[in-house]
Amino acid sequence: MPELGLGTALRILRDRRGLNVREVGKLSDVDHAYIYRLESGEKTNPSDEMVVKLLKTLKANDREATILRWLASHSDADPALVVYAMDNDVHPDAFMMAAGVRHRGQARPDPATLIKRALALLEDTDDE
Amino acid sequence: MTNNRVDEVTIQLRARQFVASSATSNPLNDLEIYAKAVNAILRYEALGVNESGYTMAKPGGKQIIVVNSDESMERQRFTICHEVAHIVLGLSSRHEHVPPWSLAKRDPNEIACDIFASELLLPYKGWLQVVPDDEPSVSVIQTLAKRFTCSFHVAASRYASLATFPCALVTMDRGGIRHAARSTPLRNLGAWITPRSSVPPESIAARLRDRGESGTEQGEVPQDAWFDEWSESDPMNELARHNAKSDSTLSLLWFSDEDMPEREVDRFNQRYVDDGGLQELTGHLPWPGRSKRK
Repeated sequence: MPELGLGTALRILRDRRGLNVREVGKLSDVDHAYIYRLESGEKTNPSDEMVVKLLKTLKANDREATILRWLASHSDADPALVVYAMDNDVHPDAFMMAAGVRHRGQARPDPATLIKRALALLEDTDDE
Repeated sequence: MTNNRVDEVTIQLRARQFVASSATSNPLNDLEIYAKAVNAILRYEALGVNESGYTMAKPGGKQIIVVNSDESMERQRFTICHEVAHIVLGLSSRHEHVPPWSLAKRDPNEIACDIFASELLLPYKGWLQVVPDDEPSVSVIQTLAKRFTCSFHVAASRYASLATFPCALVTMDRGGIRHAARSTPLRNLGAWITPRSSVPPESIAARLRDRGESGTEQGEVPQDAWFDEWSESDPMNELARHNAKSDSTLSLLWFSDEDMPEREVDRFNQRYVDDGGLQELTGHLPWPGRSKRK
């Protein structure tokens, strides 16, 4: 099962806290097997209650929590973009715009280019 | 196959409704009206090669369609219509896993958006008003492409799909058939061209490709060269165009009136068998029989 955006974000936050899956399960009162499946992409769309428990245990900041909540309902987000956003303090609005992009053509811009484009469009207020 | 057909018709109808509701008097010059109808705005930017455009949604819901200004006007216009299709149909973008050299089938989402985009770019009513009755030719397709500011491929595909006679446009890449757009009369004859099969060696398309040069050629080919399970070997017309650089080929196929095969299929693709039909009415009821009860 390929890793998905949500699983990638959960694993990054867990690694930062230096916890293993069992420890996160115990601290958050969530079945560790379920957490493992979320991380591996076998399970998607966790309930709000689950997400809140995990965010609390993983001590996610506001930015990370917003991104993770969005990922909980958008399972097809690109894991590479998630890694980039988590590592580079990307604003959640820019992340969500970049993650929801639709392309036409064979070329695929890298995460840094996508975020740069999203930020440029956010700054462009001519359309409002 | 039946479901694909139903989906294609549904998408065409949705696109025609969208065109009608956009109340555009002249989409040929200005596609912005379509963008406005889906709360989108257009931006033009140099994006480099192999990237025609992209769409991002801002937090308030406004969609920004960015088009590669380096590409031809025809391609830019198709990109706009394709992106509008994604928004109207609510379909995500899923063509990243099909490499350009692959003969793998394109994702159904992308095919659906291409069908929708064609309806926007070459509106049905406007098309019927200008399409000539002449025999298909390079010049007929080129004139239509110029009028609708679209590529030769898009115009030829539309021409084949809406033809009132048996006609198909076959799109080929690297010697393999990628897609075939067929007119309703050709579908009704049960003529089927299998995608992902090799270009028929007897075809003009194969001959052109074998030469390894770009070019256009028209001639006659046996009908059974192109269609699966087809018994008639009478000639039909083929107009082929090959681009050696991209190794891509187009073939427009059609029957002349005298070459029209006499076969017809029902909606389940079964051939009609003439069993003589019902007996002529004589005015005499066949019942009750002679052994009438008293």
